[in-house]
Amino acid sequence: MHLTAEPHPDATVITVGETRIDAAGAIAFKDRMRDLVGDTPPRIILDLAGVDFIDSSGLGAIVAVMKLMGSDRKLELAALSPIVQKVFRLTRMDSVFSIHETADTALGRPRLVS
Amino acid sequence: MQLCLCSNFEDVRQGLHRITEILKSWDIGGDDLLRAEILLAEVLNNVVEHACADLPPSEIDVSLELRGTDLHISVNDRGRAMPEGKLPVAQPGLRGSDCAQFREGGYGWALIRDIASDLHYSRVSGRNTLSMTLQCTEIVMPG
Repeated sequence: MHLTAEPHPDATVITVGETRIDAAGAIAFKDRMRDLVGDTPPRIILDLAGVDFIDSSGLGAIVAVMKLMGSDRKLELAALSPIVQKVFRLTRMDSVFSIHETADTALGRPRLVS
Repeated sequence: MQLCLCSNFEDVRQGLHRITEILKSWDIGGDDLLRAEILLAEVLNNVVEHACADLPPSEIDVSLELRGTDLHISVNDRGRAMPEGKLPVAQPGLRGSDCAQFREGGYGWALIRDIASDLHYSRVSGRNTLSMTLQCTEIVMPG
């Protein structure tokens, strides 16, 4: 499970370098996230721009990470693909997480218009 | 259309890619395709994770048939029977209450029940068959 953490002044952006967070990779995702969120600042933005599929195991893993971060830190999500968005909406988890269009907008940067 | 997969997560992952290509070739797209991909992933992962857990690898047969705008799906496996021989209910309280929002599991059947209709389970001669219908809303019928 390829995940990279990039510190910013008010948040850490964790980018998922995999196209799927599914039953085959959910445990590896959770383990790697546990290492990365160990002593990070209060706000973590999970950049899912490269993820084109998630299933209930992947969703459960993200919820588990949110729980292990505790109530004084916040896990936010960015750049959900249509299928990821659909899974979050059908399970009503889109009301639990703050969801941003991109990691940049989550950091308060203006969107680049090409 | 029939497919045969092996009861492990990697094979299911590859099978899902093949199924997506088949559905696209039947002009299933947009929201219908998203729902089909989520539905089949949940059903097949359940077979591997629960019915076939700790058992030697076995075959999972997937049958897909598009009749009009209804996609009929049937999944047959040689794993253990469903608990109490019937379909699990989506766990109550998944939606709405604060405590349920922080559960780590139990989303699979909620998704299956949300997306599929006509869910039917049977156990015959050591095999499980789960059949269901996905009503496609974006297919334009000729005429």
